[in-house]
Amino acid sequence: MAHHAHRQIREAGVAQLTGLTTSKSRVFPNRLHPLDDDSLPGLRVFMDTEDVVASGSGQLQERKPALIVECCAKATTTLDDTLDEMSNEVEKALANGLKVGTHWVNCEYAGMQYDDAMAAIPAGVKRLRFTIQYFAQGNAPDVLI
Amino acid sequence: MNDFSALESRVNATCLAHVANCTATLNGGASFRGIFDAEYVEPLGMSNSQPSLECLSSDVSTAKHGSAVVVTYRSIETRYTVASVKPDGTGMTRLMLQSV
Repeated sequence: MAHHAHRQIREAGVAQLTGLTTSKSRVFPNRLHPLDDDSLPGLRVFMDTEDVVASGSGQLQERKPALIVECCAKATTTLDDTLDEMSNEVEKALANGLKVGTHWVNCEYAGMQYDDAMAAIPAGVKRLRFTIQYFAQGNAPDVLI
Repeated sequence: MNDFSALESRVNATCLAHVANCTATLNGGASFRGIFDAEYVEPLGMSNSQPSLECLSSDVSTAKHGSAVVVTYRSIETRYTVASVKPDGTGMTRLMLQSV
C-alpha cells in the first residue's frame, strides 16, 4: 500500500525544493522541532487544510490541499531581504507544478504571511501558501489520479 | 515617615552589590555592574537566546534602541546592541540585547 497522497505530496515538495540557492539541503518536512543554527536559513514544508469536492461520479473527489512552505531565517540586518530571496527561489521552483511520482499536480501560489520575533538574532518566517489540486477516489486516498 | 523611594534606591544598590554577575559599558562610557542572562528561547520554532542586562536605571539613562553595549561576563567580553529598554519604574532597567 502506498503512502497517503498528502505524504507523497509533502515528500515531493521537499525533493523539489532541495538544492535551492539560499536554503540548499536545509529543507525539513516538519514544523514541530526547533531549527538550530545549522538548519538556517531553511525551509519547513508541511500540509495544512484541504478542501474536497465530490465529482458526482462514484467516489471520485477533487482534492485541494494547502501546501505550506515556511522560509525561516535569522539575521541582524538583512532578515527581510533574505526571506524575500528565499521566497523568490521557492516560487520559481514550484511555478510549473509539483512532480509526485509519475504525476504532475497543479501547484498554485495562494499568498504569503510574514512573522518575526526579536531575540539575540532576530528570527523571521515568510509563510508561503500553495494550493495543490489532484483527484483521488475516496476509498483510495493513496492513489493520485 | 521615611521616603520609600530612598529605600528602593538602597535596596537596588545593595542587591546589585551582591548579585551582579558582570560589568558592562554603554556607548563606550564608564563601566558599571549588572545582572546578565541569556535565556534559551524558540521564537517561531528556531533555537535562539534572549540576552538581557539588568542594572541601575541611572547607569543606562542614555540607552536607546541601537546603543552599543559591551558585557564582560565570566571574563568573556561580548558586544551587543540595545534592542529595547525596559525600566521597571523603581530604579532598575532591563536592556534587551541583540547580537552584533
